[in-house]
Amino acid sequence: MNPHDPIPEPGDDRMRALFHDAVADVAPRDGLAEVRRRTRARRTSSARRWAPVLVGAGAVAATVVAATFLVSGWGDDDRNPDDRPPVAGTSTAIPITSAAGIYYVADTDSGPRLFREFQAIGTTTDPAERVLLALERLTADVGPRDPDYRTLWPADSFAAVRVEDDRVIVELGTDAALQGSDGAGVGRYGVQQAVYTAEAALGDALPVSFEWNGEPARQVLGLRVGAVVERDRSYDVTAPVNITDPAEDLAVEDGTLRANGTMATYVTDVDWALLQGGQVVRDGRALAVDITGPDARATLGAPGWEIDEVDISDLAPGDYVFVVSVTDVGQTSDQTADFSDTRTITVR
Amino acid sequence: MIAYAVARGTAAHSAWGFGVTETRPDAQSGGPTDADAAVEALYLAHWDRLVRLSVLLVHDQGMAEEIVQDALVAVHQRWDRLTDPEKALAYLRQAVVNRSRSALRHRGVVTRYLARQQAPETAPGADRPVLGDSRRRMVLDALQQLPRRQREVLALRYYLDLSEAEIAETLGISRGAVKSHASRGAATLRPILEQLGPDLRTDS
Repeated sequence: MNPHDPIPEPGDDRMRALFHDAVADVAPRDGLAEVRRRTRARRTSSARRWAPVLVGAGAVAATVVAATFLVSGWGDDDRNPDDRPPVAGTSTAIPITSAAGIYYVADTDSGPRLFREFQAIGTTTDPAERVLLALERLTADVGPRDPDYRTLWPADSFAAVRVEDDRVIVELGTDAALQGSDGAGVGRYGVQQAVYTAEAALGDALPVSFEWNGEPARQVLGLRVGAVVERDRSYDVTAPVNITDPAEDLAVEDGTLRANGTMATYVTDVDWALLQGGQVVRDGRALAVDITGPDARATLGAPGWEIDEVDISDLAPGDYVFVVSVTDVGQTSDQTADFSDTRTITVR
Repeated sequence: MIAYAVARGTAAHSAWGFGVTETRPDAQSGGPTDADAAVEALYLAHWDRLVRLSVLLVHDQGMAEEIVQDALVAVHQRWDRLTDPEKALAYLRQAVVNRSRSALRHRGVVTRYLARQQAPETAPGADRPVLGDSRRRMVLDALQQLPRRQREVLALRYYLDLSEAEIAETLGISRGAVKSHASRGAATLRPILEQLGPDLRTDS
């Protein structure tokens, strides 16, 4: 009864075998209980609409139950991804590292800003280990892949991490991390590199306490700090536009350019261009998108932009620079300020 | 008999082997509803295969489980508007593919980065057989390198055994486009098949 009409080809059976074999060792964990919980909760919440009419006095109780479910976020398909139990690092069968958003510093016309790039870190179910693995990407001996970025953290800066209910404790590993070499003004960005990176790795907004030799550190990267350091959400901390994909040095082999990233909440237009030798070969305006799921945790809830499939199959092989730019109108003063982020890619 | 043929035979029958219309429970009582029963039946019949399908698309089991769960919840939400229950499976499949795609948009950078990093370990010498895990990883990595449409068409065709018409409906593209994505994707993967040699089995 099933109208199968494949074009029979000699390799078809082996291709099937290949695909089935590729996931033969994937053993999906039981998800029925979770599906039940989410769909049962949903029905309770939709009951709110008819209960007052149908069951009179009972409606009060029904409404209360519904409200509780709604507030706690269960069953709402658009619920905040931050409410979900963390899934990063729970994969077992497929050997995969997980993605972490790592925050570096780059200079702009308006001063330093934090830029995020994604790096692959080891998979772990321990949140403290995940934070430490991410923070280790901040040290000067590892550092960013994008040459426009830099880091303020010296080698061996991070010795250990503990995650408590209300804070993340970062044990510093070298006194070079106390002094810093760029002064307190820039040191502020270094300290925030660690706070942003730790929160992105955790998927949770927890302030950071820095410790040195078991005591609270009073100074980090030349900046005087308190017992806990919150994520600084001031407009002049993160870059108003940031590229997630493509990664630096990405090789494009299928003749298609795709790109996405994040922007500040106040940004309305993200313009992009692809350049070769300073000449624009493609350009346009990106679409605004919502980032959902695990990625929203890594990007700390920032709004997204995206370019979906631009045909570049006619471009000669070689290196190109992909650039996105925004104009920030009046956040700092009446002066407009331009910000951009770039990636070098190779077309093959 | 190889595994895919068995799976195809059982899945077609088990999906709707429950009597929702005969045993319609009272929705006001808070007991199971049609939608609950239908979604559970879909879960029982298709959970494993759809998670594996999503792994082929996103290369991450945890994310794949989350995607299929979300898709089942979406079917439940839409149940009243699904006039033909036979369409529920098609809708579920479509939701899994679409959600895998949007999950991937912001993961592209990482998967490609990983593919580059892992390449030296996973490329075997020409004189050595490719075994077990490294073979699987090689296939999954190769899939990640394909353009998205080709990957989707191949996974639906060779893993779910969908017909051209079903693939076209699932992806919202023409049958001609299905054909061309399938042949280009298969052409890219064929050299890997050659490298894996003749003794690949699916009964593991």
